Amino acid sequence: MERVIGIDLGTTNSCVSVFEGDQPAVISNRGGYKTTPSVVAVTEAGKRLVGHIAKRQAITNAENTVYAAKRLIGRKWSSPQVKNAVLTSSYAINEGPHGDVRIRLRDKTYSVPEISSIVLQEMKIIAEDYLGEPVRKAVITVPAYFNDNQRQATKDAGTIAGLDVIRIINEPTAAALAYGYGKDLDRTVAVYDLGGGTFDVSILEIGSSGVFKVISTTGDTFLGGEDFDARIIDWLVSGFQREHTIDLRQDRMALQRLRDAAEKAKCELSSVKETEINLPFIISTGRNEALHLQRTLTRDTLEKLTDDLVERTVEICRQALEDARLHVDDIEDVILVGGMTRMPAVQTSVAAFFGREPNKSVHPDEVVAVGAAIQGAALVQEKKDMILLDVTPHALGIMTFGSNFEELIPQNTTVPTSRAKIFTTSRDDQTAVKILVMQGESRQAADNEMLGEFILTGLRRAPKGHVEIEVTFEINTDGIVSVAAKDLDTGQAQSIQVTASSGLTQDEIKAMMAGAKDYMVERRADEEFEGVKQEAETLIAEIERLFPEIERVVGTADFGRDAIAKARSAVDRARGAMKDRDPNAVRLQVEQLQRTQRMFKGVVARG
Amino acid sequence: MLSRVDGSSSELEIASATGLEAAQVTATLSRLAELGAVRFETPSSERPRVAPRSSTPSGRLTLKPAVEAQVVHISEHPGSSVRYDAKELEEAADLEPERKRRILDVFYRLETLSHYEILEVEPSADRRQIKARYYEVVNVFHPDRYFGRALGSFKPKLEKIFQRITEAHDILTRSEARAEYDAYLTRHRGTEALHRLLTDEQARAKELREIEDRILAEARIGDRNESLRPPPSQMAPRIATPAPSDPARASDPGRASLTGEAPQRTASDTTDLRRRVLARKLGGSLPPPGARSAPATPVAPVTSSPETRERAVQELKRRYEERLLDARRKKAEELVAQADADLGRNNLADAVNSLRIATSLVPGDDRLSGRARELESRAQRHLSDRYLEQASYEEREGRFHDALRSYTRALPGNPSPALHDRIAYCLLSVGGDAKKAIDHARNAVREAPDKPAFRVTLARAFIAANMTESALAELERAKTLAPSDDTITNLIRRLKRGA
Ligand SMILES: Nc1ncnc2c1ncn2[C@@H]1O[C@H](COP(=O)(O)OP(=O)(O)OP(=O)(O)O)[C@@H](O)[C@H]1O
Ligand SMILES: [Mg+2]
Repeated sequence: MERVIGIDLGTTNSCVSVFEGDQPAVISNRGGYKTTPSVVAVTEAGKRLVGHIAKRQAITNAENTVYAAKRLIGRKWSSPQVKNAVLTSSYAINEGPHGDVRIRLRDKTYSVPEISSIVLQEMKIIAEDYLGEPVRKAVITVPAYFNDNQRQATKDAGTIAGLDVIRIINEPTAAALAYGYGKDLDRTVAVYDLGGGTFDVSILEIGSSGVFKVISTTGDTFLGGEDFDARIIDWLVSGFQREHTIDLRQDRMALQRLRDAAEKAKCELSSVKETEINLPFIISTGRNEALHLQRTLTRDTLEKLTDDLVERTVEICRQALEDARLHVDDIEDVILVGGMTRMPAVQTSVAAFFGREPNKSVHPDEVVAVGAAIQGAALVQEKKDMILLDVTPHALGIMTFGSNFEELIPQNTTVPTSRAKIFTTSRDDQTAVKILVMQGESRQAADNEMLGEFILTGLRRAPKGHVEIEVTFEINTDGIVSVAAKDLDTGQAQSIQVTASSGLTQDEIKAMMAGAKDYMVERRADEEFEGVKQEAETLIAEIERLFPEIERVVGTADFGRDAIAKARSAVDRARGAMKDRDPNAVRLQVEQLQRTQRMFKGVVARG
Repeated sequence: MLSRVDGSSSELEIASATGLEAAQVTATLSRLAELGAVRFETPSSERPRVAPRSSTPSGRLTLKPAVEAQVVHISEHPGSSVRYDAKELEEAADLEPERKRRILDVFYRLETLSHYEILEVEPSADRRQIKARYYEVVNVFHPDRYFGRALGSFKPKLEKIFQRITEAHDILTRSEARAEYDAYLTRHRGTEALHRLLTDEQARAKELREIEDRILAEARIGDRNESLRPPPSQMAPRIATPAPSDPARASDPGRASLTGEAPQRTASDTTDLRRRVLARKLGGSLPPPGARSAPATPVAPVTSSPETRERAVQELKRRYEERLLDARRKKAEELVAQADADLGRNNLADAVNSLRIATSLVPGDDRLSGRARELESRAQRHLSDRYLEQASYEEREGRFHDALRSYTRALPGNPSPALHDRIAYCLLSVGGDAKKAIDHARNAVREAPDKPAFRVTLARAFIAANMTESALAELERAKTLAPSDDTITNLIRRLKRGA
């Protein structure tokens, strides 16, 4: 059976898990951490960094370090969220060729899926190192409230990373899977997932025979820890402005330091009542005078700064219950997911709303990846002990006359599903009709997300309203949407598979895949180089340690001087080869060094 | 001889009572049967279907839809019929044959099974039971159960089934939605019941027979009661014990009974039955204890004087028949009252049924039969309207099989050309019998020759039957009627290119 890894591609942190034996295991990265920051950077030397190393160098390389790319994935350049990100990001965000978003790092422009693919590739490598075998198949999670474009973009990111994404599943659903898997529960639960960038609530029924049925899901793809951090940053910036009349936002490095300090303070305030924010030399004035930032933030102040954000999450919980046609009393357990749920104010608000203490049995940072691994294993296993029934988070429909949105598949419909509706022509003698496929909840088509379009031609000439066109929407088990239109008079039919666009063409994706492969080769070569380099360095250190002794023993003899000179030049050549990062040359020198070392050891032993 | 026919005597008994040759009795009886004066009864359940007599006034509508094949009633037991082509089982899908069979079986009945039936739960099942059952079924029909296997056309089928069971679950587990659905189901069943009542002659014939049997049995009890009174002195005591009260006899096969207006069998049925009965009867049973009317021919010798006996028999017979008539009339009145009550409750179906039976009980009543006919055509129209509504809904939903059935059922009450056109259209949409489609489309064109759309449907039917020439001719005629219609022009062009 081929292994399937589960990846939680988070806004701030990513996590990978795999099924081993009959248990899911969370895989640690080389640093020993179970989660890896979703941070990508390019160094001055053009080297690509991912995860903790990328995060560590962010302050000194703010312009070339991408944080929270997930907030941009699958979004259009024109969307308000992107506009907002352009203003607050430390890296450069530009318009792409398809009205999509591109990120500039050093001299290269990246699409958002490409940035995400770098993180995914890292997670793939972490899993491969652990398993000691190549991994191809993956289940990747996305926020439940993601639309089809965002899902497609995430899938494309997986493809670019060389993964076969067998299923995209929703984060809260995955959390519920991890919570209920193999326990033979029979209960209705709510999952409250507040992460770094997104917020989701899902109500599920966990039934006997391993069936997990989502009843409703709702959320906000632009509400998360980042917004809490932003409130702290605002508070710091405006305080500083009042005091020094200097806008810290103008300085990218200062902004990055503020961001780190704000997040750190926020996390600390989950366990202590107040914390000191201390940023010496945050900026220098025109007169070259260095200014420091020093302030005390209390838990109370933080709660006041962010209480509307917490209130909004509670409001969304109310909505989820309403959509599920349930009452708070019907909820038998509340599962907290996401790092932000460690904030005491969040926990008390959730407990107050649901009237019960939230469940503490799942690990908020790992549970989503674990759920993805469970789903992956359940799909490929011969013995299937679990079935996941998820819903459409957004309504699907078409644009009709007057730019109205006509819904075909309502929100929270269990997939797979299909619906048909009959429409008529809106003009006399209309012979063609354009079907615009959209997703969203607004009655106004313009407010919804465009997924695709196609044209049905060859309609019978007739007065308006006389030609009937049947439009059928279908979402299959894999989440693929297809739309068919049929002229009921002539039987003329047309259909498309709505491959929601990630903003990338197939050719672009292919090129990026090649790029990712190159990177893999490069990286593996790097690792190999690091290996021989290590070996060479150990040898050199040993040889250099022996030099004085050798000088003493044979330094007076001609052959001795000759040998020492040879040894010195071998060490120099090895150093040169290492500097050139030429693994083959280093390997060659390693052999030479080994001989020298053996000879030295012999001399010392005899002498 | 007619007077010897008492509802329980066999042909042989009659023969011995009348002194006629058995063959002669048989021949006479069959002629009488043909005229509707008598009918034969068999106690077995395979009682031949009673066909309406040719002389019944016209206006009696038979709902024998032209296309009733493949229809499964919503109330029929699930699993009662196979609707898929065995070839579909041969598709190379990575599924066990048993699984394939189950999928196909459910798939082709998706639209006819009720939410309860598709989940295989009792209509009284509670929410918990429904949920538990749903989870079980999900584990059979969700495509993820078969992830990674080549499913071919079974995958979309599984998806459809899954969608349908989920819909059933979602509705039946929400009390409001379930109540609404239950109401719909009752209404739908009402239409179905009305349809069945109007079409199911057999059921009505059975009901009528039961009523008749009861009336006869009661009349005989009356007979016996009378016989318990001191018999007239002239009467031989043993005559007073009528055979019919003997239960063994009552169920005697081949006994003939007298009914006023008896539906009758076809001649060949009768002959056949008669032969069988005679063969069984020739073994001989005791001659009947008595006769009830003056025999047309000399009767077998009896002990009492012929005159006394004759009078007694006449008297008994008269009373017996009077009682029968009274009982029939009384029952008919009851039925009319019941029909009125049903009508008051808007229960057209039962009202029609009651009136029809009443008419059969008292055949001479013109007012009654007129009323029955009137009510029947009203019911028919009502049913027609309901089916039309249902059909256009189903057609809109793309459920052409259902639409076809509903249109077909709407036809007798509303035989319009448009309806014929729709039937033809639906037949073509489901890939049904092209010949039938042609018949219907022709019908539509004949009645409304100036409708191009009808001609296009006819042309399509011709195409489906590979009758390209006729199709072209029809399209040309349609084109003359609607020269600017692109569809027609395109079809002609395509047809010519293909030819
Ligand atoms: N102890 C803590 N108290 C408060 N907030 C915390 C704590 N620990 C982590 N967080 C916050 O949680 C967020 C990260 O949570 P998480 O790792 O679940 O998000 P993610 O999965 O990357 O994002 P998303 O699910 O939105 O895509 C960050 O904003 C982080 O600051
Ligand atoms: Mg998360």
